[in-house]
Amino acid sequence: MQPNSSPPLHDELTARFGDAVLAAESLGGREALVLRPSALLEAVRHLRGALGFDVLIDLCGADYSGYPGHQGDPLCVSYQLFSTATRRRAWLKVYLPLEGARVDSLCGEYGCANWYERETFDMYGVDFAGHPNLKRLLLYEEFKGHPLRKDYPIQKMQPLIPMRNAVDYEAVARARRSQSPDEAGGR
Amino acid sequence: MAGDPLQEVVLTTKLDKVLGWARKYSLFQYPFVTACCGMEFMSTSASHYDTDRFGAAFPRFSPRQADLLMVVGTITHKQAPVLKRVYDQMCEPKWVVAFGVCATSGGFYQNYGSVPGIDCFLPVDMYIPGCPPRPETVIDALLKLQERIQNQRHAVL
Repeated sequence: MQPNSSPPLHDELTARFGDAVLAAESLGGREALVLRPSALLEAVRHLRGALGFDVLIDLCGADYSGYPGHQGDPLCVSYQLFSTATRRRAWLKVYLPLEGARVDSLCGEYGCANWYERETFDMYGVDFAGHPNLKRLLLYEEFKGHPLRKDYPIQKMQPLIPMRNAVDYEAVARARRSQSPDEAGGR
Repeated sequence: MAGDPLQEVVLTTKLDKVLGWARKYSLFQYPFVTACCGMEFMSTSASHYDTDRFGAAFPRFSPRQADLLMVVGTITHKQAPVLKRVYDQMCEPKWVVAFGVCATSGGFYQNYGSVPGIDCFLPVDMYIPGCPPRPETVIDALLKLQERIQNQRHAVL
């Protein structure tokens, strides 16, 4: 359970950074603060320094393209912060455009952000400005594109060595679409 | 021919049969373990199921000393060149076993990362179904592989 003695983060951040907090999203009883990407680093510094959020629990990407009810920039980076002193949690989000997605790196504030950000770059192509070593973490360097983006063909493979007998799933999917026009629009 | 003295002291067979018999009982395997199937592989080769009693599972951790490549688990596209290289380093004669559905067909992975079955770049002698396979299935496959080795052609020079 989360103690609720201190004022809501929303108010604290709004009071200090003004319009940096664009919105608040509620999910599962928790509130995510949507920040202006350019204000993220300042807000995180404040959270870490003044408010004692000393742990970056998680940092991950998401692509909301085509997500029901979502408007605005589709690419999302989501941050989970935790304070070991007050046991409070903070959930921050920034939304970025697909082209030129760029947000400040948190590596200077949290060392563990290094690999999280590399993974997010690998999978979603988010450019973390100021990251000391922003290259692919999981996939190979020859890989083109960012596979967890919605515009990456879901079954597209990029083998490093010749593959025989491999099923061309894209061709199968094309054939299936051409057979039944009803399914053509479905993802 | 009761009078033939040779029949009492000489066994006749074919060279292929002798070599097959020798090879099937001295399989040195290289376990290429990448995923959760490895747990089942360990229990299969450890004392409970003990594949060594079939002469079929002496693990060697150098491909140059092995003649049976056990591919145990999911193979990603990033890893495929490594596995290919391991296979290339093994001396003839050599056999390949695809252990579990991921090595067999990619299993439930059908995406940017996984190879849809190692037979896309390796010749596979035996496929073991299951996610993961029961040790009995593995032993069954090993026995079938031994039978195949026994009956196959063994070229000598």
